[in-house]
Amino acid sequence: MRRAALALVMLVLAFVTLFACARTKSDEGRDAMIQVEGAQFFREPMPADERGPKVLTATLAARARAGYVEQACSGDLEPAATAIAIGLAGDVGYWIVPAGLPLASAPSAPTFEIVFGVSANVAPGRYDVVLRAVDASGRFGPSAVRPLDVAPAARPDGRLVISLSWDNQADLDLHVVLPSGIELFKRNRTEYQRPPPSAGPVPPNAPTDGGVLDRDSNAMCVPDGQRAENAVWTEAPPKGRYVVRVDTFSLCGAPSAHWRVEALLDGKRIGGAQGTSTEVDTRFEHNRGAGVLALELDVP
Amino acid sequence: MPAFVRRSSQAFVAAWILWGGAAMAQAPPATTAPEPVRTDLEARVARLEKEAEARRAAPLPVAVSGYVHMDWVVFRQSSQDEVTQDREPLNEDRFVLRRARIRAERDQGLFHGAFEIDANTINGPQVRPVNAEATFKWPADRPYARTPWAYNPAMPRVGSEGPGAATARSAANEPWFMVTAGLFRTPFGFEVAESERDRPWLERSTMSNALFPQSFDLGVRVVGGFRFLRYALGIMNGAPLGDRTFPGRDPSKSKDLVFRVGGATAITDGFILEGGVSGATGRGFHAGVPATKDLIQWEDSNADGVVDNTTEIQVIPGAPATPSESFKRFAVGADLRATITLPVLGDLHLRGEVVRASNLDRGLFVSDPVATSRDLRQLGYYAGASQEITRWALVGVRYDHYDPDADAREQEPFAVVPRDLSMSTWSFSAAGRTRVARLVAQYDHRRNALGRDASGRPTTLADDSFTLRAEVRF
Repeated sequence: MRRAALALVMLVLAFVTLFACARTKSDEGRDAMIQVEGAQFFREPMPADERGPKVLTATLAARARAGYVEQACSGDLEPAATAIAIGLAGDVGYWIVPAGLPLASAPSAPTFEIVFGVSANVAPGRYDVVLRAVDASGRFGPSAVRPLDVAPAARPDGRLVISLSWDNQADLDLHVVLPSGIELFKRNRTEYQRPPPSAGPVPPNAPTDGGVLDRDSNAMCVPDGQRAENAVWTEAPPKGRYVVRVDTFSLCGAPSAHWRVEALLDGKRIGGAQGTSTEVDTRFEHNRGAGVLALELDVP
Repeated sequence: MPAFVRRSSQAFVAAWILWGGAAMAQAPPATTAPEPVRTDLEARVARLEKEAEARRAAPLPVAVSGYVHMDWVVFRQSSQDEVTQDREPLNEDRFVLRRARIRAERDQGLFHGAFEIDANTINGPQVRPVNAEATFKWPADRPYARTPWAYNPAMPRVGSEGPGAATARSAANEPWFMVTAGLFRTPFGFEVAESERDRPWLERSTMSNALFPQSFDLGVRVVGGFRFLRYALGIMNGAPLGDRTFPGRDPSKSKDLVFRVGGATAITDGFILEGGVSGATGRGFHAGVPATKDLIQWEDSNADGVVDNTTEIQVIPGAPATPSESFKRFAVGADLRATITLPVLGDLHLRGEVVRASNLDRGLFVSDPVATSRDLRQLGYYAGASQEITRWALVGVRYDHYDPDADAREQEPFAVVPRDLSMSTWSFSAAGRTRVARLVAQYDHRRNALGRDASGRPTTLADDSFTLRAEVRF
């Protein structure tokens, strides 16, 4: 019995050795710093040999936000090129994109046009985008390096910023309950509460600022490209306990939405949470008090 | 009273009672002779015992059977601990209940009914009907044939019939025709109609999975045979259970016509030959799209997080609805299978099948000639051999090839070049088995064109796998 099992294992290993070499491996490359939709990912550094064709021109916007998915890069290559390799210096791998038709203005130069996304986990800073042409025999050419300044994910400035962001066209709403009991949400966007008429005239110097909700993103399933809402205090925020909830107004046809909540006090992260909204979350009231609890934090 | 007198009187009384009771129990009384009555009674008892014995020996009114296929995918090269854009897991290294089926059926002479349900966990737990048949068959005394296209070993081979062969054939042969309405295997070729528990390899070839996904479809079928001839003709929805777009439903009123004509016979002792040609024709469906409204799209081209009205806002105009359309599709195929009985070892099965089709891919790269503005031609074939190693083991090897689009092209920088989208698989299987159970190990070596090499050219995306399967029948 033991011999039979050993023979079976040896047989499998023989098949693996015989058949599994010199083939491209499946890899989504989700942990790479840049991601190219539809391209082939290779989890290895680019070869050192540079005897292949050159990149003639390469145009790349020098600035991108972490989490941005529409970064464009285009240019043309020497005639022998059949593909272009693109990756960030120091990344876990690179991407291969087939070369395209030449332009009428340069009929002998294959072109390339790449749209890539910058991972949301990329720390802000300057990076080098490495571009290398590849010929039909797989030889890489010399590197063309373009700088890319990765800015932090777009977030308004303020002493206290509580942000909600999500990943698709769903209509999610941020609810923040202040220590005073006031709740900021799309139907009450400011902390300032206008006194009732019976209270008499409002003193001209009475505070009218405080926390503000900046927008109702994807309201009524009209996509606005933001997919984020922020409660911002430009001055010192009230001290005490804050409760943050996420209300799923509608998934707008999506099966689910993945959200993330983050709180920054004077630029420092003081709390965060993430979760998933499903169809069940849309079935409740969407007024004051709505939503699932995402975060509780104390502001000193 | 003296003792002997008392005893005599008691004996008389007892004899009188016995005689009287027996006489009262007899009908008709006194005039019938006792001997024929006893014979009659014995005959009656014997008949009742015989009927009871026959009832005990008869099959249950409803025959219930089933089997379980439990797989352990030990490794698969394409497996990743990741999810797709649709949040479907990409991991394939797992235990999976491939199929657990239970079938109830009853043969009632002219009529036969069957119902089979399947449970699996391929895409999460699922229970569904896979087979439901209402059949009229003739002659009534011939049993329902599960595989009417295959050779029936109970049938004497041509030219070797001895006395009583005609009676034996009548009892063993399939009906001359069976008319079936319901959900059943598409009668095309050999592999599409073959039961999963009879196949030496774990799954069907790529060709069959693409053109007739999961095989079962709704419709009406006539199937039967006469001597070595076999025929099958079906009118089907054309949307089998494995259809990627409308599984088990029919989005258009047109129906598919499917047929197979062939033969199955024993040429000599130990050499059986089965074969046939098949065809399918019908219309596929291209779904229209509803109207869309104008959309405003923001692209943060300077990555400042601020909407710049002049350069970053663009309008995507809406479009009116487009109508659905249908398109023609067909397939022709030929299949051949030979069974050679080898001394000591057992049966050697050789099989091959080839199919040429147009716009018929419904399971892998779904054909839509309306979207591609050209017909998509498919070509598939396989060849396999399996050898019994006594009755306890079986080994097999199969090569299958499938090209979903024989005219595929790809634009390279300076030319449009043909692109080979074909995929092929070498399957090596070994099984240990008993009468009711099997343990199968199979290695699949796959070649495809789903990856790209460093030069940007299509290449094989590694997808070999090794799978163990436990099967129990009941």
